[in-house]
Amino acid sequence: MEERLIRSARYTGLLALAALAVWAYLAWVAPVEKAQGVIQKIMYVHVPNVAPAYLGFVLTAVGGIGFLTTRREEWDRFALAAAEVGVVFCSLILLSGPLWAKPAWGVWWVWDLRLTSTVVLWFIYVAYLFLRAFAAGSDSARSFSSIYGIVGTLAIPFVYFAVDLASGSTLHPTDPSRQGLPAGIAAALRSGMIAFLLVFAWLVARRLGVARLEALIEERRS
Amino acid sequence: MNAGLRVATAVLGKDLRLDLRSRDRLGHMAVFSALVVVLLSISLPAAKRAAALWIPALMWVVFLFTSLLGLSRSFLAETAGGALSTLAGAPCDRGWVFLGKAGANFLALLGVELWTAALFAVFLDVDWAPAVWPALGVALLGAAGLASIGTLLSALSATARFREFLLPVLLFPLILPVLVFASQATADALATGAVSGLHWGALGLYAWIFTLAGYFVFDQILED
Amino acid sequence: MKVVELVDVAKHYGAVRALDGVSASFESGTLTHVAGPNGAGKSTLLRVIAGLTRQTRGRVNVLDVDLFRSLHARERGRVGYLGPEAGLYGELTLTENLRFCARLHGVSESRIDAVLQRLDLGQVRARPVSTLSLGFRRRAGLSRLLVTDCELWLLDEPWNGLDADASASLAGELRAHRESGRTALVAAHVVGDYAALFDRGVVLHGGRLADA
Repeated sequence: MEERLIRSARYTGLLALAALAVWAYLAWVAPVEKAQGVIQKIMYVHVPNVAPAYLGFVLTAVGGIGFLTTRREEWDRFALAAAEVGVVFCSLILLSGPLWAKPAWGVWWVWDLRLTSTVVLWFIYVAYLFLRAFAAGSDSARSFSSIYGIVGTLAIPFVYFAVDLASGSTLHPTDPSRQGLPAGIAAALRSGMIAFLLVFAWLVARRLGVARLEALIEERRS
Repeated sequence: MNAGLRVATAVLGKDLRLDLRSRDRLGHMAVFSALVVVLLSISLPAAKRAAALWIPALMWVVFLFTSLLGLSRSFLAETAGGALSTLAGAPCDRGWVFLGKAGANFLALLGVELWTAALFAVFLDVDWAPAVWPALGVALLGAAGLASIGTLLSALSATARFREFLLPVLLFPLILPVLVFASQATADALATGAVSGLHWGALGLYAWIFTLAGYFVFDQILED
Repeated sequence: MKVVELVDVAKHYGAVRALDGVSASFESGTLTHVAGPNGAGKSTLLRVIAGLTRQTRGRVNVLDVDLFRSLHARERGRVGYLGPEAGLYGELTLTENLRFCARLHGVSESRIDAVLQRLDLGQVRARPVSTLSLGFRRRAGLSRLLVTDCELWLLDEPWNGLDADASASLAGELRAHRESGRTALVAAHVVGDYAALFDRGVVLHGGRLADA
């Protein structure tokens, strides 16, 4: 199964490239929003990162469950790949958010539901990667990381709910799909989401390939 | 008696005995908590009424940092003398060992909570009288949630490098919900004398889910 | 009856192959000496059999069950592992430690006095284990196995740190253990005077097992 996933990278990569081209075009020709000006187009870079960021952590947990039940290392490699790629997309959300917010609304940051949850998710990712780094070399590193991946994912709904309770009004634009969006903007967003998911899949497959090679080298060395 | 229950109570009793005999864990947590509260009471603006809105959250944050001292030493006795393999050899589902350990941590953390609350009453003029029972309920559920996830993560980090750094990094993002629920519930209790069902439910659910999670994965932690 | 059965057992720690395809079986009522140089994998072998470490590959059957399955958790009580450390709590007294182990295994605490006397530990029973000398600590570790009355003993370098008297006493305990129809695997790179004690010897070298 790991083999197939790794080999799929070629096709996923090409698809991703095509989707990115479509997205870039649509983002370019999308109508400029009157209130915010052209800076609003950062949204097309900001929003599509969300699904891969959250999906990444869920897949980390899936990999963890897979490893703990089957004890096959390919599951653990999958979890690692999903985490390393997911944290990048998560970081992009946090970097692109302020770039958009400052010119658009005059503040660098605001503690609203979505941003706050994403910050916490980022910290959970980072904690997972630290655990992997510091437990590395110990035999139980893989089981421990798997456990943290699972427990971390269990906590995410609680985090979301808690942040919801804690935060007051939000400066964050409401969910675009709920309002009626002009067709140009909606199309650009949707194509972005598809493109970024494809890039995510491609990156995970490539990282998985590297992890597998690393494991093979370790084995040959002994 | 069911083997698991017997093992859990044996572990709980043993941990309590160790705690009460050496008084390290409990003593250090008590002193640390007192230090922080004194610092706060000196440095917070004199208009205490303004600070009152922040008090419950502040108290829970102080308590969270204090609990780190205790949680990070949760498995010290086991790793020091090779007793981890003795525990691992218990003839029952190893999740019961987790329950025993988490139970001991729960009691220790509850004690620290009550101590911290008393300190806040003395140094920061918090009047617990109208809110004693609901606040106590929140304390119990908060301690349960913290003890369950804290014991689990303490076990994960017990043999890792940089344990003192790793445990808070692992714990804080996951314990945020308890921090929010508990400080809001405590604030409600102080203001109105009652806590909403939503908060009871959230705290209870958290404690329940992570106790179960700890029970089921502890097997994997005890094996090498 | 086969008390321990290993089929193509391997244990890897990253790139290190502590055990590399070990197949063997050990009959009940026998004392086996597991020999081998340092780093040969003796400790790993015992830990895998004790169910403390999960093997990377292969099957391990102890007392006819797989100790890692919680269904068979009760069988763990029949296996006693004594590693390089005594497996006790330093801050508790020896008696308290043994009471804890007895409760852990559901064994009557009345055995404790007899065991302490047998191993000549009565004088130190009320002292915290961390204050005991190495020799006493090793004996204290053995007392844990005697109290919990286990069938299979897995001892890792048990003669380390024991003086002549204590060494002879340990040999006596092993003999008595076998005489009651029970089994022990003892890992030791040197057994000196006690070689004749053992029914069987195996050598672990580079992660592989061979009869001596």
